[in-house]
Amino acid sequence: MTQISDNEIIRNAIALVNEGMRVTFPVKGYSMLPFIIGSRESVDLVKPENLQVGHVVLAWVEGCRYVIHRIISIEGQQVTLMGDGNIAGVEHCTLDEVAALAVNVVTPAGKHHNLYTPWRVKASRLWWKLLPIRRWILAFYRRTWLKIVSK
Amino acid sequence: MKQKEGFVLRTVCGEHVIVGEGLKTIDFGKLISLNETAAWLWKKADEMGDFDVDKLAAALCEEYDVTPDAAHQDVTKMVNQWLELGIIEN
Repeated sequence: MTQISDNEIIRNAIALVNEGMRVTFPVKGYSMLPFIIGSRESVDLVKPENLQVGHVVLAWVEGCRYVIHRIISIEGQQVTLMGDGNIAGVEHCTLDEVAALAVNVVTPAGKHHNLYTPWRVKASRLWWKLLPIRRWILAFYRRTWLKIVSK
Repeated sequence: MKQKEGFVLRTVCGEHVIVGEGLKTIDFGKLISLNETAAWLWKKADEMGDFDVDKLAAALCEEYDVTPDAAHQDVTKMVNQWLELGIIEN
């Protein structure tokens, strides 16, 4: 059996995005909680255009790995990202290293929810402000809601 | 039988895969990997449009050095898998 690395799969997805395709891509891990549930939900990726703070993107960060995280600042060509489900730590890349823009979160039932509806944008801004107490909210979320939806 | 619309054979990461493709969308969570022979059969079925096990088995015998019985058995297995996956229909 041929083993295909994650990076190779991601690069193929990016090539299709660059062809103008919309690619539905499964998300791993819990670094985008509570907005994207890894190993359960996917995101729809498109060509990155008009990038703004608050956008969720697939990017090649720190010159060594791909992440799907939210943009928290853009200064010239420099982009800083952070996972919604992280309590510390940011990643850096350039605008050119942003490979795709996530436009929808896709539930296991196949429903596509726009990531940038007014209430989701407001919720993500509020979530950013809650960073100092995110640790406790996430712990509660993982022990309650996440267990319910994972059943 | 015929292939359902929207399922396309592509090469992803050097592998033959069938992807659900519609409205310019590819779902990487729903890729179906095919070996060389299966990919050839999928292309053949696509060319035929309306196909059945006998037609595909005959084509397989012409292309590969395989007995009619073995071809029929392999194609039946393959077609049943495609039916189970819902990528072809009667």
